[in-house]
Amino acid sequence: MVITVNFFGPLAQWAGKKSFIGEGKTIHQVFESLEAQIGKSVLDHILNEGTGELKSHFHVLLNGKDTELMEGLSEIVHDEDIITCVPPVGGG
Amino acid sequence: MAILGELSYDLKPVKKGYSGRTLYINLSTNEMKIKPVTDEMKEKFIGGKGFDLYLMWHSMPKDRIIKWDDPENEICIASGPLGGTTYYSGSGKSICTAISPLTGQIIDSNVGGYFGPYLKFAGFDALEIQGKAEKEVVIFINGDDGVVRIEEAEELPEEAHLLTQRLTENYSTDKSEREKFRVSVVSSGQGAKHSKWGVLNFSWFNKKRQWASYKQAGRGGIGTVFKDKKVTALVCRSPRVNQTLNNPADIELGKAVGKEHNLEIVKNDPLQNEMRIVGTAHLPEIMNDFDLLPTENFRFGAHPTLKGDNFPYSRDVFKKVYANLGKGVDSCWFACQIACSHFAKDYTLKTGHLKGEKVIVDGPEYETIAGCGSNWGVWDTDCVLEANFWCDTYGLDTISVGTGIAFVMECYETGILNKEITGGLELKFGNAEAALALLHQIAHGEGFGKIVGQGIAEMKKYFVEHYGADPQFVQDIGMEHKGLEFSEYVTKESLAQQGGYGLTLKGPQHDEAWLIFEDAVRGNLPTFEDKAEALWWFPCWRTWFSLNGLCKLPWNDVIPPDNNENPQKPLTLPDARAKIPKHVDWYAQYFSGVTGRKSSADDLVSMSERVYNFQRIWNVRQGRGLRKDDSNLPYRAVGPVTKVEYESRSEMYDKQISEDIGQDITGKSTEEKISILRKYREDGYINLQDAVYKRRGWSPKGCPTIDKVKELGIDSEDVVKVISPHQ
Repeated sequence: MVITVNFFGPLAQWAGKKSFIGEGKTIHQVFESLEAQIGKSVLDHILNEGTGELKSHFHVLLNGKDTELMEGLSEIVHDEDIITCVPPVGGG
Repeated sequence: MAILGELSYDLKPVKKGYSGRTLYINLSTNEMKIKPVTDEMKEKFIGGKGFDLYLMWHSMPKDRIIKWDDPENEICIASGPLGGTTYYSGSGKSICTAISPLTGQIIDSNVGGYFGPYLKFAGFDALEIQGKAEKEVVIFINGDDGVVRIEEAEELPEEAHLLTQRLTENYSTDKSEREKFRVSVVSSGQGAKHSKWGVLNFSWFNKKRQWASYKQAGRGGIGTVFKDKKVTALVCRSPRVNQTLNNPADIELGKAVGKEHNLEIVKNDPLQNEMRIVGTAHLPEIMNDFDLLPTENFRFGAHPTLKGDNFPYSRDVFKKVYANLGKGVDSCWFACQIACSHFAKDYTLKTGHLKGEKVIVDGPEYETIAGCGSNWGVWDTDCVLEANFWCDTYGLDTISVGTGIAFVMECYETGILNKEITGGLELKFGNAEAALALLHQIAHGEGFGKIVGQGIAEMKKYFVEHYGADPQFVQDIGMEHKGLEFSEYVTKESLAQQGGYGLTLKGPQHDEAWLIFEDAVRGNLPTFEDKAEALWWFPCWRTWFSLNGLCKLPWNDVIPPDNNENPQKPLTLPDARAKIPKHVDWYAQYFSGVTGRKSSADDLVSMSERVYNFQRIWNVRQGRGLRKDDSNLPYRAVGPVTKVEYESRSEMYDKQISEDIGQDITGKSTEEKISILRKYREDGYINLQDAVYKRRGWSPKGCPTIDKVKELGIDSEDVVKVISPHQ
């Protein structure tokens, strides 16, 4: 199964590039699968250590839709899905 | 130089954010007078845009509709009670209003630079300019000596960047950077004289740049009104600015929240959008990824193939474009920590009469990148820089120029226009050279550019009448509404943002409501009522910044790290975290600290609602501002007009027809599916209109009700007379 993960802004700098291919059954697992490529944990970076909630700096989207409206990072993914992690955007 | 008029006045300190006076100038008679700021003005209209609208209401004839080029039309400029504060980011804005040459109704524009605060510190909360001069004039407001002069403009350069430097030097007490810093210039350019897309350039001298940069009051052609009045420039020299010059009621209260907000920006911006390094140029790649970046006249929402690392307008690309000289260089008002006013240094011009010269380019910002880049099908930063520079120095709006030329390009591609009509310009998508040549023609009022510079609404009529264009097709693809060109967001997949463009006071500019992410991406506005609530709250809230002389970027372009911990679940309005409730509370404290008027977050929204409704009523007075004027968005803003657009996202559209509309698509042609989708989406917009009018307290005709104006305390006899026929 091929899942594309796109990062924007400082997160892309942190990860070293903007686009990755990951694998797993859930978004959580896909992020875990990236650790080998990036050399550090995406989950540790984007989740609050205490609460385990997504930090306010990040929105995680699955195929362009906010995962907060789904099952969060537990959402099941399918082949060729695209996960996008963006900073909050306020518009002009 | 000849002095045509002079007024001396007493210098008085600002009190609690107000100078307590406004300045009226009539250029037909050279009359100047000082008007008092009443308690009612402060209580009900607050300042900034509120004062502008109040002054225009009372100074302009009420017995007829005023045209943009009537001498009675006014340009008003004001900051606001919080404008000029040096301890809270984004506190240096000026708000300009006039009757627009494009829309025939009130246009307002919120702009950086030093002029508005300097005007207040020189003695005036607002400036009204009425009448028309016989010859070009410079108006000089001398806040050192308490003198206003109308002077004949003599031997000044026409290019706004050169004019700004010259006047900054001429009106500085000496040539030192310290003194130039106390001068701000408002000017336009020859493009404003020859088209309806004129802007005002507001200057700010920066010691590290050793240059007076400018920001633009861009929308709706206020620069065109300025040139029609034969104003070459306004110049204001301010007393030296310090923390106490605005004389706040409780400086410690404002400083405490200001410090907290400033620190939050500095700490969190590097983790989010890096506006301190790239400004709004962080947006193109995100918009591109979500199919929201206007591409080829809004036909598409993204580059045909490129995303991610290879995207030509990525933030990494613009990090290299901007000079980024360090701290304090890119703030268009003192100590603003967002500091988004980036610039490119030593850019070598490739076109025009200054070809080969190295220049400073103020920008480019997101709207210019999208308008004069992707929307032309051009993916070249040099083209964007070139268009940015020339638009500014000609006094042209990059958004209207961008959207206007994109429309022309599609008309060329579809055969409505040809080389014979355009004077040899092959205006195909992607042809940067032709687009820039057209820009120069617009500025000089020459050739085909003379027609283009009248705006898309006029072009639609002209192309039908003279070139046999299909009226429905040009209406569908010409991205203007109420006469104003769309700013640079694709709204096809967000009904709320269609309302955010269509159900606005001045036309399709995103400063009233930017709901695309909340609606189309985050799905937070599922019902018509949710959308209507957002289209009440956000325009009111965003209006508040323009009453106070503030920039809205510090409010929601850097999110507080604990924003998710606010009690907003379930994620429905009115508690959606998009409001950034913590920051709204901070602004209430800031307002209380400066004005001494103790206010809550709800109070701030009420202040805005009053002025918002008053502006709507102003438009009704102008024979506009009703349901008919909010209707009939160009269909390109609502859904796919052409086969190629539909087929570029056919899977998504087919799904909507099957699942949301409940029609079987089997065997249907693309044209049939476009038609089904159109009916559904246009009906949706009408339903949204009904829901929004109800929420705003307006009649089904789109007019504020008499009960509403009574509730807001603006039920004067003349206001009631204007709205009574539309209940």
